[in-house]
Amino acid sequence: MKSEVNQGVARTRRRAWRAIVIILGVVAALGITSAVQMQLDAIGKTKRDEELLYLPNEKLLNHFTAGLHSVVADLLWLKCVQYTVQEFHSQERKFTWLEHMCNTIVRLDPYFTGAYQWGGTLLAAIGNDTAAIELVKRGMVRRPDRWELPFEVAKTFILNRREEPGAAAIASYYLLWTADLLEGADREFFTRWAYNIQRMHDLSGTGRQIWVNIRETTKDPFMRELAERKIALLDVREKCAGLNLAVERFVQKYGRRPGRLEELSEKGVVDTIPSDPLGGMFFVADDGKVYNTSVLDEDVADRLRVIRAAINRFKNEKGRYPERLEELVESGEMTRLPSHPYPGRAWRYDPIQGSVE
Amino acid sequence: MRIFAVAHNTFRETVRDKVLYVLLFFAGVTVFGSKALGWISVGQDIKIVKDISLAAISVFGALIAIFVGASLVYKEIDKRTIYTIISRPMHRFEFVVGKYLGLMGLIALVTLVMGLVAGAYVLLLGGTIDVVFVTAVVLIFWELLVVTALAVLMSTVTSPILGAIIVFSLYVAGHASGILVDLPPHFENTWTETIMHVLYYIIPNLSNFNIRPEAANGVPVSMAYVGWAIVYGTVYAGMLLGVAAAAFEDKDV
Repeated sequence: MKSEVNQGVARTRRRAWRAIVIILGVVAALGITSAVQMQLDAIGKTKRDEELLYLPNEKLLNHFTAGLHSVVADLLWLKCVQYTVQEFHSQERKFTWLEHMCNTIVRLDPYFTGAYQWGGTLLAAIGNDTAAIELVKRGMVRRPDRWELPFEVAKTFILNRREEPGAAAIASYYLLWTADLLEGADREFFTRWAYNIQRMHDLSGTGRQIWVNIRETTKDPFMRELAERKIALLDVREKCAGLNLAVERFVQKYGRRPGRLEELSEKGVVDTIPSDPLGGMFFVADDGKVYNTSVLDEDVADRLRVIRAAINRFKNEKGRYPERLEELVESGEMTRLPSHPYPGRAWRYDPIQGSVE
Repeated sequence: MRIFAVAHNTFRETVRDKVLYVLLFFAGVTVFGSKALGWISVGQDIKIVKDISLAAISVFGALIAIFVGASLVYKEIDKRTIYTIISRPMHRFEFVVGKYLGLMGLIALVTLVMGLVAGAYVLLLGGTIDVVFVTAVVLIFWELLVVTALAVLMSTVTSPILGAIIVFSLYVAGHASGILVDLPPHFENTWTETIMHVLYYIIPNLSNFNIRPEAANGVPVSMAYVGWAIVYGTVYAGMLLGVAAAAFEDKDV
């Protein structure tokens, strides 16, 4: 009986000791893993600028995708491409969510060079060059090794801001940056291109060449379609400029403006009136200048997007729609209100709905 | 030696598990199907294939570890085959460690096969395989070692279904533990902050092993980081295995 009690006490003691050893072992192991965790936190995977690249929503997404945030970024990118193609083929071409989607994608996967590069191309293609440059510059912080990103900034200045003073110098600066990241013949090509732009101060020919290169090198059908449309628009703009020169010659010869465009060919000032491959038409407006409806419709869509974005920002800040469009400039949402591209027309604004047409 | 006999048997037993092949089939479908997503990605197909392949290795590897591991010890008790093992001259911890090593062998084989298939597929599509990609697969293996240790621990203390649910929850929580130290400023110097920080160091931080975005984008990761992550995984898995062995010592079978 006594020996059984002693055995029981001894067993309990053994179990107690084992429990203590296990607890101490767990505490020691957690101590080691905690110390290692601190070490890992201090090293970090790579250098990163957390403030710049992570905003709350994407941060939460990062945490709750069980480590699959880069896959979520891929799926969002596919959605972004689908959305862009759908908007591109739609009547209104609003592209309301494009900028937000691009920003979310690169916050989920900050190394996604393709999203910076092609996101920048798409944003610039719809006239939102400010957002395009911001996006690509963030990419340059994360991927300083990728030549495609400074080239994208240069491209945006060449394609979207070629009329602005200093655009040639800035484009040239980013082309030299691109050259620095390349070697051999590519480096030489970009360096020569940069110095040519600096010397000529004319970006119009270069812009067309960029879209031609995209059309000929891209494997993506949508990018090819986009490039073809942009080239066609540039061609139409050139034809428009040519017809305006013809109008000037007509005025010098006949002392009056042509009443109809066809008068230019009837009087032999031009051989034929050019056609518009985009399905639009050329016309002489009351101010005596020749315009094209495809170009004007494209400009209307671009400018409407900029105005609508400013109205949304105004609404988010002030909780109401502006009473007049000019209020957007007065409140600092826009530096200037873009004019309606069609001569003699003005924007129709509904202050109750906040809609502009 | 006895440990390796158990490990050898466990490996042979688990490699015949039908669940393994069902999950491997879905992993293969995911890897090969990822190219279809690349068609509409504006030239990002290789990046997307790499991303999805690495994610498939991690997720399906974890599912294999959970579904096979969570029933590992429980099955022996349920089928009463445990009696023939523990009646032999061997310690119970040897049995648990042997089971873990056997499953580890299976996980190593599965990770290697999936890694090789994914790598070959990327090369076939015209992509390149660099050091970061290989390192990412190695770290996925270490992540799965921790998940396997968790599964073996659960297998010794609870039923397979409950164990699988707990391990899967910890797998998700282990990737989200960063949120515990990323609190808004008004939590500064509060008890909540202290508790959250303690939890951060207790929950296995599986995001330490996630360098998949870097691998898919070809961004180099420092070897010091990889080394420390391996140390973290080894110590954590060792601790879990120690607890599992201790829990099994006291278990009435």
